[in-house]
Amino acid sequence: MRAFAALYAALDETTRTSEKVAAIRAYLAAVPPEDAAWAVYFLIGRKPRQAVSTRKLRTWVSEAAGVSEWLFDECHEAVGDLAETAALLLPPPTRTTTLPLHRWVADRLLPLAGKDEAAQKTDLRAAWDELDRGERLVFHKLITGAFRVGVSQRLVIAALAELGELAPATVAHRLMGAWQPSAAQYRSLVAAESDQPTTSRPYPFLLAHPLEGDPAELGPRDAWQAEWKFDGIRAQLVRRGGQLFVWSRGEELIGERFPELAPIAGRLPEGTVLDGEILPWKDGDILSFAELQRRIGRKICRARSSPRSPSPSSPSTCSRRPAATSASAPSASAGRSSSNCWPRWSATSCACRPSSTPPPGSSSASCARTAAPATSRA
Amino acid sequence: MRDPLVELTERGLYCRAGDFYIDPWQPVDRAIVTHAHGDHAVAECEHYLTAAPGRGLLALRVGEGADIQPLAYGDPIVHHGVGVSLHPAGHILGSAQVRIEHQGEVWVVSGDYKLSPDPTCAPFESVRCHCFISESTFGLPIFRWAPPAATMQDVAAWWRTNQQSGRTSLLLCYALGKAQRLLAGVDPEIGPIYVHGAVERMNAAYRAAGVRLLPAPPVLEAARGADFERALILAPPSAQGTPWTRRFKRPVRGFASGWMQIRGTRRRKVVDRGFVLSDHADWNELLAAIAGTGAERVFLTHGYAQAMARHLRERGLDAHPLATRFVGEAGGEELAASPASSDMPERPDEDPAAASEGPDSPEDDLPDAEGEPA
Ligand SMILES: [Zn+2]
Repeated sequence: MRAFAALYAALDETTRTSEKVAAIRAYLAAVPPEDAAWAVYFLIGRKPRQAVSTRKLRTWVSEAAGVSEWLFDECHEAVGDLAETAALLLPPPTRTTTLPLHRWVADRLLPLAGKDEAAQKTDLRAAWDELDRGERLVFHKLITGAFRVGVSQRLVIAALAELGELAPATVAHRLMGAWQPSAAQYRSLVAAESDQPTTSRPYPFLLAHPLEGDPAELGPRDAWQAEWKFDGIRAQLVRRGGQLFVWSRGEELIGERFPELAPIAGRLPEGTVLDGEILPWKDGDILSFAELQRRIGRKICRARSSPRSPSPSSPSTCSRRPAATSASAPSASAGRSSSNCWPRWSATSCACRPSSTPPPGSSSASCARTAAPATSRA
Repeated sequence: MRDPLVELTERGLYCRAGDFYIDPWQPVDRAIVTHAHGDHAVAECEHYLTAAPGRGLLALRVGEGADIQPLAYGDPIVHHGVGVSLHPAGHILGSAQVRIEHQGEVWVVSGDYKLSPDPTCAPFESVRCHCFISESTFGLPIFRWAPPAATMQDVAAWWRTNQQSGRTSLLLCYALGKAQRLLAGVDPEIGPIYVHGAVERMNAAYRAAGVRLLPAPPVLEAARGADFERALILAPPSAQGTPWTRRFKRPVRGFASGWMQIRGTRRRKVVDRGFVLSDHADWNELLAAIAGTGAERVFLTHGYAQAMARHLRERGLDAHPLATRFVGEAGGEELAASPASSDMPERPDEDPAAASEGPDSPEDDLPDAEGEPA
């Protein structure tokens, strides 16, 4: 618990991405795999269900700290964070703990939810007497279901990828779906070989760059085609193994947030990868980006509850890549194939891309990088 | 019931019987100044009375030409029949509580104070009184400081870690009080210490008053090719983000202040590390100091005066907040601290998932300073 609280503090204290990744990596390398498994679980945003209500925490902390509840509220207002307020108010512990994170989770944290109030209170008092301020903060966040730390899943993946000398996409893939933290699970997460299939893996996203020089540098005009650029969320739809995987630019699987995309799976030929923008769509019109933003923060959207903004994907690049030939397949027919596989393709603004593999010598053209995933992918 | 010995007027705390002000915020004829922080010492008063060790600091603040009468701690004077004496407040060099006695009634105005040890100034002295006007900058029970020696060790450990990665330790702190306390408290064996010009001016005044401080040359006077990578730099918060800091390669920034107790404050300061080190009393010290005076009436000023007063009333004291102009607007120096800098948070661009991550607590609206622009 101490090491995990120290990691939490370290992540909280630095604003630099590289330092956050280094802190996660150092922690994961230092602790037993059981602890590492739980840490990864919490860091990527999964959490145990709330065991203790914030109201009860407030009451019990006020009691233990000898302050009136109005004074607790004043403090809460000053601090802005309930778990932190409680950690600061409680009297110092009389003991320390060396119990590792996974034991805290299994023995002290998970059982809390099933206990009655009196037993919960007894357990909390015992925990407070063993945990220092930093540890209490983390403990309070975990028991109230409020654990969040200022790192994106991408950083956790980066740390794991460094540790296992793996491609980030491999780690991202291994983190998906339902899994239970355990030593074995963590070991397979960072293992060089995994028996998990690679079906879902996206291609590297190819990004647009502003053209620095003269447009003439792009070469002959007929080597290019203009294409609409939409204000949506960049994503890849991977249709393989009879499944559909939706990846964000940050290489997170975001399909759960866009359940409207699931029906597409059946309509795309096996082996198709669409790289484009997810757009909210209604009655033949593209809705505002704000509609999409509401989805971004969520982990799961039920299709039933979100019919207001169906989100067809509008491919800016689209190529069908049978697995065996994908590495060499040119994207020459991208425009055509995309309209074939997604008929309701419509447009609001415009961007450039080459209509075929750029001629030799024109590889510095910025738009070319946007356009040709198949050719630039080795 | 007779008139209060000290009342709050538009110009600040006023003693009618003695016709003088205490820490007025506008120029007045006679001002007793508890200490030389900017929110307690205003320029252009006709006559100043201040504790002798703080004379030089007050002159720095209000000008060498000002009429400043120094008074030794504990020496009584009588002015218009009102007895006045100054007693150490333990806040910074020369900080004083003002004891006022008139017709058998004793009031004490605390100014800013702390009870924890500080080698750069005289320790707080408890003065018995009927009415105590106490500061309450940190008047909430979330503010309970660790022993300063432990914080100094944290600073030292941080400095060593930064040294190992060849990065300058840039520690932001008040130029007056906090900087000298750090200079006196941090292990000098670790490496060289340099200071910002604003800190150097205060150091000179401390040395002139007889306080022993380690050598700490100003950065601008450091030799060409000075080993800043190994150094600890003490600078006021206003130096953050200015060209002055560009001479340090990838500095690690720390901030020493009582407000660092709250993660949200540290986050808003955009520093790498917060050290909880305050020259103000914490919750427990405030309660102890108030109890120590034996006062039946207590007025609270600065910070969380309302909450502290309510808490004291629940414990049977006649306690009330005393509004001052500076409540909620303190902190010129820290407010000037700019978070703008070249290596600020790296935002993951265009990543919808990452964009949804953020600080995990609502941003509150705490004052940005410890109550004293220097
Ligand atoms: Zn002050």
